[in-house]
Amino acid sequence: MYLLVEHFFAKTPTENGASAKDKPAVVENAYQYCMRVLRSHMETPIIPDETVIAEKITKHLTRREGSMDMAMRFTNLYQRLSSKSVLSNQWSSIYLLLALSQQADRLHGHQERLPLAASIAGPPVDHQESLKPGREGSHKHTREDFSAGTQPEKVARSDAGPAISEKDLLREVVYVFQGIDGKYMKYDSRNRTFAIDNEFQVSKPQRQILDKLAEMGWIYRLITDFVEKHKNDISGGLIRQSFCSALAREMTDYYRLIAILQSQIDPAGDEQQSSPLTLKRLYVWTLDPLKRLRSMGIVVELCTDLKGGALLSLIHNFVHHGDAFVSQFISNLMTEVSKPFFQTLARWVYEGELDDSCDEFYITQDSKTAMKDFWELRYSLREEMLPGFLDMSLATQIFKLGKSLNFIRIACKDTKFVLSRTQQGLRTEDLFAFGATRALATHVEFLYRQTNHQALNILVSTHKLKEHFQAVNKYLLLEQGDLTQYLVEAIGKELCKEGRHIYRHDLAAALENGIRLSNARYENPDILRRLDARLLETSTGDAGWDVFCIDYRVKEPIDTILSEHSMRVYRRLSCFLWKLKRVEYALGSTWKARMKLAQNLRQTSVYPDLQACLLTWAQMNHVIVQIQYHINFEALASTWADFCPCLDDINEDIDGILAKHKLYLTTLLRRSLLTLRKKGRKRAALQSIVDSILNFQLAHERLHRYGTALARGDMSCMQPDVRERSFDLSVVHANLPPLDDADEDEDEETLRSIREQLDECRKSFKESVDDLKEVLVEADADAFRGLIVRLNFNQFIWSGKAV
Amino acid sequence: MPREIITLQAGQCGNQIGQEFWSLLCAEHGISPDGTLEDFATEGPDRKDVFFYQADDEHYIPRALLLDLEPRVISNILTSPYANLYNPENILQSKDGGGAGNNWAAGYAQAEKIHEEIIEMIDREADGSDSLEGFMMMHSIAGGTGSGLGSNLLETLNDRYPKKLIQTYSVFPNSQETSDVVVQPYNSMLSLKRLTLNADSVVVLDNAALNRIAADTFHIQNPNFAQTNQLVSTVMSASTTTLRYPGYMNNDLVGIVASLIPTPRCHYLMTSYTPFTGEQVDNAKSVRKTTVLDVMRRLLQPKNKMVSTNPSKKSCYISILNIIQGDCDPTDVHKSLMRVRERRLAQFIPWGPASIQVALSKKSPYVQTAHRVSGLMLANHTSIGSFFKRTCDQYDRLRKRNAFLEQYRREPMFADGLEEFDSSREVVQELISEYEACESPDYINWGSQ
Repeated sequence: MYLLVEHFFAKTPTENGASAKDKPAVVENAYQYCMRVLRSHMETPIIPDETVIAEKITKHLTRREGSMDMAMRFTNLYQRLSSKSVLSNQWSSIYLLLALSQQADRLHGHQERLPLAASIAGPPVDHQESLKPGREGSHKHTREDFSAGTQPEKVARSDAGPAISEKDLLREVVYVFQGIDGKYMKYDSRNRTFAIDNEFQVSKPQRQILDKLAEMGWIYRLITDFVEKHKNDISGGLIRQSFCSALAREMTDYYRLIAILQSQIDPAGDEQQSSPLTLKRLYVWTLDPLKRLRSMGIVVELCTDLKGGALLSLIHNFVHHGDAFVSQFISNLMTEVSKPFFQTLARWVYEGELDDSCDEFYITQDSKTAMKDFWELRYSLREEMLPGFLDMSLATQIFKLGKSLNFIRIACKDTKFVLSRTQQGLRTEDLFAFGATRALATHVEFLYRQTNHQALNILVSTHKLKEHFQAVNKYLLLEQGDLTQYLVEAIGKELCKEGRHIYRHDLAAALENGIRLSNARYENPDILRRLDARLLETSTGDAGWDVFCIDYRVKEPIDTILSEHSMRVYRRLSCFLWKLKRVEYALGSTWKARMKLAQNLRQTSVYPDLQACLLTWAQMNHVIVQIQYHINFEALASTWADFCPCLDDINEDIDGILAKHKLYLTTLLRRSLLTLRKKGRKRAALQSIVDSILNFQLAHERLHRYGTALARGDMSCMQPDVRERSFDLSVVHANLPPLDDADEDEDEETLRSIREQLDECRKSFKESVDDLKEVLVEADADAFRGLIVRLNFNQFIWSGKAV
Repeated sequence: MPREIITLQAGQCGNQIGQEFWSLLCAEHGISPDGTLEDFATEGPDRKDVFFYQADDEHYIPRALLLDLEPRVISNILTSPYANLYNPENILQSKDGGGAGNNWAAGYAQAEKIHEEIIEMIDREADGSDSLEGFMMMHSIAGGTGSGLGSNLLETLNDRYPKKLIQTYSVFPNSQETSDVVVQPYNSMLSLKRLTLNADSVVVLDNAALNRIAADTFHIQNPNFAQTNQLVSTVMSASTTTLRYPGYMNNDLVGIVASLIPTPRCHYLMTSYTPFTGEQVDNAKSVRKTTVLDVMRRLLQPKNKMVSTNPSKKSCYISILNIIQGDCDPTDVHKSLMRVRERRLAQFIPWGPASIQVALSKKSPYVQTAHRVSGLMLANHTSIGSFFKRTCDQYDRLRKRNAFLEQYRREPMFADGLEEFDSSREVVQELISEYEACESPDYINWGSQ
């Protein structure tokens, strides 16, 4: 038989890495196995049909060895065999061959076997691996069974040292179980395991069992050390303490086991009577406790520096273990350990109290935060402290729930609001416990809806959020047209000065007057008190117009929504809109004078020049007015119409409003053309249009003065109404040339120079309008299509050019 | 600072229109016929002080001057529920009460006689306002008072308040039918000269078109003055909404006018309004579908224009302003503009950029209307020249025969000759040619020939 085995092995390719040296041992093993199989009288689960077996082998060869050749060869051999009558029981022989080959696979495949204790000490990934009862584990067991089964009586080959009775060994093991050095087994701190000294004569299988059992002792030490070290350590946090106590409780069960074992070894103290316990039995009995210990051991090993939520996350990692036993055990452990967490959570959820003395909750607060930043900065999420069983969305909602509660209480100073805790069919104790996340999520949702509704209610109803937004629209975004108009006239001149020469109180007084004289006087006084005229930071050379805006002061809790940052954006917009208003006003207010003067000089020789000027004015007016319409509809009204409904939507929450408000502002900024500028230019595209318009006004003024002088000189075309009047742009334009009383010479030279000046202004205007189109198309042709169409409605400005 | 507008109502037609206008304005602002503010209207979004001021007893009083040379119409007003609305000092009836007898020259001459009184009234009103925007005159140019006294007023205002805007709502006689006033072409011509030279903006209301629209709206053969006047007052109220309900744009009259009128003389505006329904005009048929596009499209239809013109192929818009009132989505404006352009519903000038301006305006919360959106168009269109041409033709026919000139010669202006007629005819002819010139790209060089 041995020869047969040897023969087979000689032919088997050694692909699985079994080296030549190992071969005798392998062969020996195989031989033993064969003998066992032969000796065993077990019924094979297979029908004794040799054709079936032969097919199975063929399949095995094709699949496993991947070789059709081998399969062919086997079929060939088998046919030859079946045709001969040398062998009497052909089926058995073939079955033996199959069994052998399968066993050989297992032997080759899993030579290396790490003791678990060693693997525990390895990196974390391995620990989890080793716990997972995957293929490796099951194979190990097979082999253990095999080794335990084949050599039960065989004496170990080592012949040194005295033999130890099994009973002694059992006693020894029980000591080891408690982490205590026994007579023979000592803790080896180098290998971090209990080992029996080689000098003692212990059979190899016994030694192996002892090795296995020794692992318990090592893990026991690990756990008790940890518990000892941390049970009174407050700095580690409540969760760790709770973990320690849970471990200690588990250990109590373990002690009970040991007590039972002890009583089994020495039943009723009768030394002589043989113990019913054997090493093998002990091994089997302790399999479950070992798993438990291992699970705890791994956690303990890994969690040394962790606390709070991070610790929970770590433990939670093992809940989804493929081994139902481990999974169940860890879940139970988790239920215990997470109790303090859920207590903190419940307080946060119901009262908004952050009861986290050990700094281990996943929400932290910064109580030094200014009230205006309450919503954004006061509380924050610590993801590393977020227990794995709370998914991010639930955790965020819980975060927002407590934040909203505090927002109501602290920022809105509403202390009367109490959450209605009860929800039908739910008990708080059930909710705030491990494993009830889904129910908790529903409950949190229920609570959050209440809280959010209250928070919005406070903002919208008590603190009139919408009115504040409307006030911003009216006064900063110039919807209160009558006030705007008054101010342009009242402080226009003042704003022509350089910014640093302007006194804010003058502006404030004008604003106050404007409010009194316009419909703003019907406004809620509280809102009016918040208005202020303001100059943005001036740099040298900035005229008042460049920096003037209206400001609106918001207090908590409204500044949560109308935050400092967004108010800055509003102020920028306000300043920009004022500048546009200035030009619009300049164009409108001088219209009458332009018309009048043109009428008066109708019979003079400069009339064609004046006519051309008037048409240029019309162009400029068209451009500015259409830009204003665009800003009015496409920027202000449309974006507001999109944004406004969310202020009335009870399903909205503060974060939602904040996000929408942000979007609203970005859209406003983009559509208002404020930020548009041509590549590589510092000045905004609109600014150069505005400048060219104001400059043209100067040139026109000059032409007019020239014409008037001409008419006065030329009595023949004296009109009934050549009265000297000017455009009076002084209200919005400070840079008027000094009004020299001496008229310019009425000669061709002067006229030519005036014409040149006019043409230059026209050219620069045309250029800046062309630039504007370029910039618009470049920025976002779709968003500005409306404006492009408006400006080029009759295809004049950008004649023929397709947009 | 309300940008006040002083209203001047001259003659029978002017006062009748005025009366309709004020009763509509009162309703829109929640002011009762005696000038007290209704309880529901104390804090509105509206600017009442553009057209009204508050007396010491808090009553609202229109900034209006009621001028007539015969007492009939004003007496009617003074016996109506609105009798106490006006400031009695602002009502001027001629002492002899003879009227102007449909004679422009008589009206002009009588105005000269009461010149001081009129100036005093105007100055008083002007001094009573913080930042006077201008004057709005309502009159007809066919009769004697509205045309003659009105012309005199225009000259006075232009001279005395050269920086203030002067806008008129001028009712032009029905040029397609023979009128009971045979000399109306003379009166029209003489008035047109003043409207051209002394007014900044003239809203032309053509009686023929008004009758047509009223007949169409009310389903009656011959609408009366009251009915056509309702149309006019609706247009006037709509064209001033942006002034009375402040918003981001169009808060002053001059801004509106400036964007409509590029050159001094081409300042005649036509209007159309839609839909006329029972609320503004009793018994009107209702127009149900009112979207912004619909309103804009209807406003461009010739049948809705309140001037009957004969547009040629070259006729074009110099400018358009649509004031849309009611519940409308700002994004609709853009879509409607695109559609109007795609369909080429409006032809514009070839010498400069032009577009349809659309202003959205608030609506009075106190006047309920059945329709969602209503709209007014103010447009500067070159075909108005053809309208003046008809007036010239009628004038020329009379003038050729030197018919009915006796009554004019009796007045001081024509005592020494009829040059004023010729000068007026010349101004109007020049106006017609300028409108024609507006249809060509060469308008940019106009005046250099």
